[in-house]
Amino acid sequence: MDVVGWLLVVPLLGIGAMYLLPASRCPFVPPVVTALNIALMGVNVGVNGFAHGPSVSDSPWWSADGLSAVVTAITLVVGFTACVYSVRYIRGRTGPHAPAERPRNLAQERGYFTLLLVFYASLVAATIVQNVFFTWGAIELTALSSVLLVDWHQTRLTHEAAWKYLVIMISGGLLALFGLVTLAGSVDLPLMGATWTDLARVARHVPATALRVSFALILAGFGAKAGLVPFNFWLPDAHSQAPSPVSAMLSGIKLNCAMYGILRLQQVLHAGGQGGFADAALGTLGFLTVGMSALMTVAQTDVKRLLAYSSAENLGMVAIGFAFGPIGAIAGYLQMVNHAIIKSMLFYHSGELLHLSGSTDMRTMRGVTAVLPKTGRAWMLGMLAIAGAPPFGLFISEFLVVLAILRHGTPALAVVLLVFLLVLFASFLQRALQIGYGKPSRQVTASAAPVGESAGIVGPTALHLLLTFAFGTALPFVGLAFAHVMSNG
Amino acid sequence: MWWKLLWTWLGLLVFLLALFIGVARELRTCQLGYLLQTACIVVLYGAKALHTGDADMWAAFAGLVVIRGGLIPIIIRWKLPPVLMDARENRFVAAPTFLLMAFCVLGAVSAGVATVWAGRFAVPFGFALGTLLAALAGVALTHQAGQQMFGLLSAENGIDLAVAAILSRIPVGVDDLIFVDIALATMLSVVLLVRLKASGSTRLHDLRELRG
Repeated sequence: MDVVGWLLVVPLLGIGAMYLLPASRCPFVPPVVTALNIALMGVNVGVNGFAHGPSVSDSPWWSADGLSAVVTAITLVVGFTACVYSVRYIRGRTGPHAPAERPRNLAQERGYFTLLLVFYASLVAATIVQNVFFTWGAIELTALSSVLLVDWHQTRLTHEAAWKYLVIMISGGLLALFGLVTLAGSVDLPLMGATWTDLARVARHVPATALRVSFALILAGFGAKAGLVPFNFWLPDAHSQAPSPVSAMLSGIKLNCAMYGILRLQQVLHAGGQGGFADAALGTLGFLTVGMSALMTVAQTDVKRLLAYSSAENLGMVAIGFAFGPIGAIAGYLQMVNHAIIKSMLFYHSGELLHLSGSTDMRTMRGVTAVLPKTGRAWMLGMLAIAGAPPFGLFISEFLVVLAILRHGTPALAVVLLVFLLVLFASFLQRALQIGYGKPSRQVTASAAPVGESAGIVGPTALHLLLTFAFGTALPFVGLAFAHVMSNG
Repeated sequence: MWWKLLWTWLGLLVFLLALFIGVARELRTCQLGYLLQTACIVVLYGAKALHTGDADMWAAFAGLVVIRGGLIPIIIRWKLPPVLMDARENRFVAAPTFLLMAFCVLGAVSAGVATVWAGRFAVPFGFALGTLLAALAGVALTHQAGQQMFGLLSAENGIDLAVAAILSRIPVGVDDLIFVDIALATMLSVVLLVRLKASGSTRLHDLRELRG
């Protein structure tokens, strides 16, 4: 087994360790496991990546081409910070810092961290396995393992959110599975390996109608999981009710993993000569998603629902990017990375805002910067970053998406997209100013003391801000240098 | 010839049972429909295993019987209280007659579409798509969370029709993976149904606090 396979083995060992270690040590297992995985990925890229080009694995079991590497890297980084943040977040609710009315519950803590690792392992598996059906199974498992995490608080509202989430995830999974079965049934050759490489290789022999039907089913199925319109009504409910680190993983990683499934099949359609159909379908859903989500952000009063609609909007941008040629694909990759980094950070802070004001209602939050300076400033910067303001990374990726559309010869579409982005920018700027500045509201001042700003909270968000800042400032120069090298042979 | 006839009649039965589950009033009746549907699929898998004599086919058959025919009904029976299983649902979103007609139209459309694209797999794929769409329409048009669960199980049985048709072309592990996935999904559905019941109601009409 090469190093890529160990990315899955390590979390599985971690899950076993959860039941061998004393319950009080369980919260520290996920951060250690996820840190080890980052180190493994670093070793893998260092040893193989630069020597063999984009493919860092030759295994028939494990896939690690460019698409897989990008989504896996996102999973590893956001998974690590979510696990670190979870320690403080969950122990603040069930541990020694829990409110007096809620005694420490070690079994509940162990349950949470075990589910978190299962969720993490399934997210890693989704992007590294080569077998088409195992990819489907892993994407299914990302949904199934997170259902009880969404319902972790076990209130009536979380039950409602978890139920909707489960029903949509299973329905979407079934549609996607039927799409894959349709594709496998349309190939005249046996697909005993059933790898993505096999499918791309035989795609030329599949009838065009079968390819199109399969893609439509998979787009509907995985699109529902990726938060694309019109099947994304589960998204604000699940994101708003889940614990903040779980919301961060749902938004930052899980949506990308579902999109990964769509993009894999898009590659198969391109290989089969039906790329135009795939691009048109993906682009159309992308535009609808961006438009609907941008408009929905205007009406939100709950901070986590606002962030959830923004997640849908960003995945819509990813879909648009990958529908508009090579420049669009680069933009799509960057959009995935930048969105995952910024949005997970904002979800961590939404947890702090919840602790601070007792609810996620934005109408009760004002003047956070005055009470919690580090959290407030990070929140402001994060909101600007997710709105697409320079010098953060999302500005670059959104700029490249618009550029790709213009180069495609459809300026009207670029204008429509810019209008949607403008609505979103205004909406986020207004909310950022409202929450960050002004005289602190009664709810904010009443409970500021017990929240605090420990390293466990500030650390992950600082890392995320640094990364998105680096993507926004260094990347254009790296790109220019690369172009210069290429033009000089 | 007998092979084609078997596919046609059992496929039709699976589709009709999906309609039955879609308009059933009690969860216990839905469960009966699901078990009958699964029995049809078991017969198809068994016939295919006998026909080919392939060990992989027998492994898939065993997985189907153990997980779909055994484990899933046991989970449901073990966890769901009888009061929930026997509760009578009288308020449909649309009249059952209309639902039946809509499901039949979906079945006809599926048969037509499959004839165009599925070639020699037109019969199983047509019934599979018809069952899938009718079951998902039932999930969308019911008032009861429990019926949604059985609708999803029924939809999965529809997909199994298609999987059974192409089983010799894909690794058998894939089939067992699907069974395990659906068993996990059922387990989670049952846990959530019990929690919903404990917190008040499993009627979807009462689960509308999260909006916007």
